[in-house]
Amino acid sequence: MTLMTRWMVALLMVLMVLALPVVASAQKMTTLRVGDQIGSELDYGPYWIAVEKGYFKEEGITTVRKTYPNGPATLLDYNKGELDAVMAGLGPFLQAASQGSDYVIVSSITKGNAPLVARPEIKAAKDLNGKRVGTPGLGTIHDTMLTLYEREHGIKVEHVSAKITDLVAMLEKGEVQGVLCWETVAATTVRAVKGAHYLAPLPVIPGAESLEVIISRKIAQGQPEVALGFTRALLKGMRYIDKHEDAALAIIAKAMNVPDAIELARLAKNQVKVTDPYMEPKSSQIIYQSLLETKKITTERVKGYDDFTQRFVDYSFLKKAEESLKGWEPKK
Amino acid sequence: MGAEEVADVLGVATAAPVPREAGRRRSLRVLLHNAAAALAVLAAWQAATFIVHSVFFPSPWQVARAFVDLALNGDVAGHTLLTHMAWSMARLAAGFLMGVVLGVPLGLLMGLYRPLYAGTRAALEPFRFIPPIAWIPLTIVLLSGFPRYVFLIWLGAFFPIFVATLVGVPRVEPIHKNVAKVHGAGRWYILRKVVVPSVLPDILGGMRVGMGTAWMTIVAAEMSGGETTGLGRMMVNYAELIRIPEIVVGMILIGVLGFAMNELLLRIERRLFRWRWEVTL
Amino acid sequence: MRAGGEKVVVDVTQRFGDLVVLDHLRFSIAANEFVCVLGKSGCGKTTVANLLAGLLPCSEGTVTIDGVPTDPRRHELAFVFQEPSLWPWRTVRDNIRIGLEIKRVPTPELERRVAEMIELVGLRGFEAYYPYQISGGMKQRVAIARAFAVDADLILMDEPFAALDEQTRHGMQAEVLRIWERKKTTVVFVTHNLEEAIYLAERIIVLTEKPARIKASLDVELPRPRDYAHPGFIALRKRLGELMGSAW
Repeated sequence: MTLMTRWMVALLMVLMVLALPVVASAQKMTTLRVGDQIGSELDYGPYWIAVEKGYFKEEGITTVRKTYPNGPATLLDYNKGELDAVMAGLGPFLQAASQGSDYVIVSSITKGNAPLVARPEIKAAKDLNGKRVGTPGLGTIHDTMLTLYEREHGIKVEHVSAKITDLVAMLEKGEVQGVLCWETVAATTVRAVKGAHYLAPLPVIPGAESLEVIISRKIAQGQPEVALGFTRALLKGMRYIDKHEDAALAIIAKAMNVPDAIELARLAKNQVKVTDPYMEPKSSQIIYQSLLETKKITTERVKGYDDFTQRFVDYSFLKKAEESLKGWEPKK
Repeated sequence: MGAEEVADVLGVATAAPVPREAGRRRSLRVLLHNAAAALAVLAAWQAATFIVHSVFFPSPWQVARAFVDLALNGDVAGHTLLTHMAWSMARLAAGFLMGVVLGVPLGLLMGLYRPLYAGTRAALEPFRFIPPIAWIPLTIVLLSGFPRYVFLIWLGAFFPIFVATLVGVPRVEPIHKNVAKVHGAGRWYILRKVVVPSVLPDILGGMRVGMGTAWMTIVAAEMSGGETTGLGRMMVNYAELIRIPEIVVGMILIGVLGFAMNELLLRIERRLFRWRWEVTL
Repeated sequence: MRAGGEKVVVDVTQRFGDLVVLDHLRFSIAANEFVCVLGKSGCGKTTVANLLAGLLPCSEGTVTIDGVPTDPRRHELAFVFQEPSLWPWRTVRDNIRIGLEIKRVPTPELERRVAEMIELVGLRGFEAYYPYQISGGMKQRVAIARAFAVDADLILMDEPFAALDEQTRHGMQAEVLRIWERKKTTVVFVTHNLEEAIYLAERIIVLTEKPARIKASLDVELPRPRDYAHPGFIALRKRLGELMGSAW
């Protein structure tokens, strides 16, 4: 080697050594693959706020979002190991646990979110008796909410499953007379179908549990700091929505990326509550019972609701996050 | 002079019918072989569950249990297994029948009047290459319920039947037509008594292919939503509940029913075409 | 030429595009006459047969039967082709009835004639067999039965035994004569085989090579059944050989 070459090599090695800390600190960013559903930006508002305001980045987390037609589809991919975190309905989570899936619920994220939209000729619950109501899938929380609605009003309807994006067309054609699905799809339906209205904007159980956030047990046990960071970012998102609702709606509308997004979001926000991180126990139990009765779950692996909460719900990350965020004020 | 030549000179038929007992013995042997093959598949499946060892890979035993439960108690939504099967088959039958009713006459027409075919080819052929599944989003918006399925099935069945008929017509032996012509037959007679019998094997071959495509379409169509019954729908419902054994039950039933229908068509073919000694697959 | 009237009159020049296949071909055939059209392969003999049968329109001239241009619908025609022409999806019996079926012969008469022909060609017991189950010779016998089953004005045979082996061929030639003698029909038999022509024909029309004209028309006055070793047979064979050997 010539002298010139030797100096070049030495310089290169020095640069590499100096670069190591930079690389090391860059590697401190963890990537989390997060699964959610189509048209659910409002329901998972805290997540979107956290992305937009950089709350995840502050925790050293980069999120990669994967979207699915409904909760059960999201969980199918989760079971394969394709996702690290999932946001979906309580129903799908209970069903998955019943079939041997493993995860940790770190936070609840949505309450309500079970609006029933009906065609103009359906004026009251009894008008729906014997008719067809569309849901995003047999395994969704909304299908279960429909069952509870039937029970409450003493009616019987035919549950018609379809892709969430097809429900609007089906209601318009009269193929179904009602649709029970998540926001903002329900709002879209009300605006798109002439004469359609919210027959039941709120679920039969007030403040009913709807959607949760899970992290894989592997991360919860192996990388608890990541689980904590993820939870904290979501919590920040919730606080932001609480304090700056209008700004939050604007951010969510931007994420929705559809025409009239802000109007849809405003129409939809009354049907969902996204600022409470704790699961509502009464409605959760009722949901569990309903799933058991309709044979969607069995007690083979999960012995009861208490067994479920013991094994699958872990508020420790939430508690630590709340502790560390005492006095934290969200900046607009 | 060998036996064959003697037979030829005397003009005696050389094809001897198979004696009954030998035939029965052979079909018994075939049955036993098939049973052994099925058992081998089951054994491999069971072995695979030991290797893969996932909660989501069911064993033959789990699937069998799920089948019994479904057969006796119906599914989660309250429909019996028979209901699901009957609905899938009914949709298939309706669409398939439409495929035959439209495909055969159109194929004959286009086959006999080449200019008609040549003149419409560019406009119509591209449709053949759109898989029925690609039509599903459009049909969800434009059609509802039973007609939607019939249309999708018809798409799957029509083209194979139409093309098989179309292609078979020019392959009718001119000498067969000449026999009729010499004796003074008109076009209608030749169509009914020469063209159709000649093309019938091709038509039935096309029907079997069409049946296969149609059956696969019905499953995809039912999965896409809108109806509460059907094997495809049943499978998706259980997929939502992450109940894999029931999904596998659905798959097996779909395979068995498809196989049964294919066999039925094959039997019909064999009966109708006793005059051919080539075996069709 | 036999005195018996002119049942079939041919006067054609046949072209395929620019190619002249038959050049002012003129001859006639008497009723119930057995005529052989003899010529080398490719000389246009098959074209003659197709014209007579009405399968080909005349480009110039006419082919008439009983004074009327050949028309399969008006006339009762039949054709025994060189290749097997049986309908594979029909049994032997159902193949024989084709001509009768097309001409709408009433069922009792139809059945009677089919049964008669089956006997005549010696296929009793094989009525329900399909073509794939019988030999080449048997197939031609069915074709012959089909041709003679109708009361034909004219039967064409275009080298029907060319694909068969010699033994079978001789047998079939004897059969054809036997049936012809029973049914008394006008037959035009096309061949390139000299012995066959002499064995079968009452009269042999020799064609030249393309464009074909009539080289000669020879009456065959040998006693039946014809003996290949008969001096008359041998002499005629030599004569035909000379006629065939020289081109026009």
